[in-house]
Amino acid sequence: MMDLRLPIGIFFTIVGIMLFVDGIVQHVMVDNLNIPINTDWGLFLLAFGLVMGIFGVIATKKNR
Amino acid sequence: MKPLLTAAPIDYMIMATYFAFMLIIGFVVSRHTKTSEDFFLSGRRIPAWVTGLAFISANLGAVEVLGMAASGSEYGMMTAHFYWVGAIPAMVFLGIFMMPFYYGSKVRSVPEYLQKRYNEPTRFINAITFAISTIVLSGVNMYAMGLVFHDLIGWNITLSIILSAGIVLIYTALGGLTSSIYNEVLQFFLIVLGLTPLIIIGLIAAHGWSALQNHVPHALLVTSTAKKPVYMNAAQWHSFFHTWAGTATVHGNPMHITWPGIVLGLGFVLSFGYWCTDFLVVQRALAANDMNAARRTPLIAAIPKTLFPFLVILPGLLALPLIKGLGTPNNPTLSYNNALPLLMAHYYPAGMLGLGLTALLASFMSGMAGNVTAFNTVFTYDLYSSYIKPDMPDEHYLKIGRLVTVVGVIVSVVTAFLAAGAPSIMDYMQTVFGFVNAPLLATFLFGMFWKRTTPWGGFWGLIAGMLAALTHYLLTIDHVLHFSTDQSGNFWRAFVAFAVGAIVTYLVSLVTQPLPDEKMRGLVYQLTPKPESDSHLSWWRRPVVLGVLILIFALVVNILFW
Repeated sequence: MMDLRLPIGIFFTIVGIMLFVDGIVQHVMVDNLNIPINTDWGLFLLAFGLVMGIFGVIATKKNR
Repeated sequence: MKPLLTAAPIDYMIMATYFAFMLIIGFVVSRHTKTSEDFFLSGRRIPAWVTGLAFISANLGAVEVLGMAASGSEYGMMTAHFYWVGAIPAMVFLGIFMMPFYYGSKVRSVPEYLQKRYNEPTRFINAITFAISTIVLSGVNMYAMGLVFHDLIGWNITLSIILSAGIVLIYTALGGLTSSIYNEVLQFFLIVLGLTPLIIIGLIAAHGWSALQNHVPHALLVTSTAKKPVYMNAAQWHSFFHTWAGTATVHGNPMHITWPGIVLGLGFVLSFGYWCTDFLVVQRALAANDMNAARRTPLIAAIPKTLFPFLVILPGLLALPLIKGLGTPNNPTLSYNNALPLLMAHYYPAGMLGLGLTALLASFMSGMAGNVTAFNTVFTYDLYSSYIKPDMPDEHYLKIGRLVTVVGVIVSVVTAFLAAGAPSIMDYMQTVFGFVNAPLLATFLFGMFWKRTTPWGGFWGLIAGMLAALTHYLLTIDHVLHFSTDQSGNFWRAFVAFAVGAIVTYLVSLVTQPLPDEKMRGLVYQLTPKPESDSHLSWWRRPVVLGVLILIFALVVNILFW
């Protein structure tokens, strides 16, 4: 069976890209605080998703 | 009421991605679901980190997330007692002491343990009350979800109930417990990663922790009995940052509870009763791939659980000074239940809002799935295969499990619509079913740790404890018994139910016949071989070491927020 980290990784990679691109295109900021939250958090989710995905791929190969 | 938030296309794209992933997981997992054990217990092959995170997620419904934030606004850090005094010691106890009996005896459900240790009537009482209460809770959860998303973004209640029920039905009917567990883990990460930025932004907006403590909010005192509105003063606001200070008297703390009520009612009976005996959470540990993994399941869950007050209670605390007018009476938009959504509406732009809403949606749906998978297991194993059609081939029970999943979801939807029509009846039913867990703790503790406990001692103790809780409840609503708050009444009711259950179990056991020793092997502490030495394992694989470290950590946070 697939390692669970793989779908979790893919999911957060996709969501991270969506948020990052939206943040860049729309210049979204948190009201009054000037924090580019979509870009920053999108990047973080992208990194998290990639790390999880890589671990998932390694574990799936190992299990096979 | 006008919706609190307006969702943008990117928010819907994130939600749609989540729906798609849930269904994909269901389809992939279904290819590996070939036997009833695969369907109901994931073939007992799930690693500890997955069962651990599913264990915590099964309890992390959005009602809890929104409720804890609301409680954070009303009572401050005292709400953390549900975690640091309540859940953590109980989870450590389950992992170290009780799991060897659950997992080692190879039972497939909690009621089945009761059948082996006691008798059929005890199993039947537990199975039937659990099955009904689980499906009612699932329906109430669905209705709560419809209501929350209607108030938040204006979704049609009926449509959101049917859509979410449909998705949950597809992936649980296809992949059974494994689907549910996998989605619970995804939900765990969604909640953590969807709410963490809110804490960071909230703390920045409040100019840090120290400034937050010094910024007395212009908030009404919820527990004030004065006729004129009473606003919070600096001393009362400071009490929101403590967990134990002021618990010597009912008037010294925001929750109006004394420490014996917290320790005995919440810390011991309610929490141990839920975390150690509720099949919804125990089922996750039974899916683990070996005894060590099963024992570590609640311990792994306890690590993030210790930190969860910062994730779910802190937003409520932050909302009090940051959201003007929060808690204003007769204004549903500004009710404490909306503390978290209001904070999201205030600080999350489109995109992040989608992530936050998906986190809430995920917690509702996995809560539903957890209830449905626990229901189908107990119904199939403890009611259908025991009383209706025993000794059938395995494929038959797999088919019935899938059918029961469909029926369970349909009944949940019907219950959700009943809840919409008569919310007070649902509140009443939830309260009544809340009576079940407290006396059950006495039944389990006696059964597992005193071999002289007899089958009829366990049965009558359980019945007497449930009746004691019911009597206590009726005396409270008739104003014969008085408590400073409903919460305080609930804590003491749990303790009374446990005490009566324990005394009756003990007395009946003295005058009735125990089971022969050979029938109790693996079920009772004195007749179960001690677990093999695990000293050759790394420290994080050793349940006792892990448990002690978690307890020390819980003690430290209790002291820090004393």
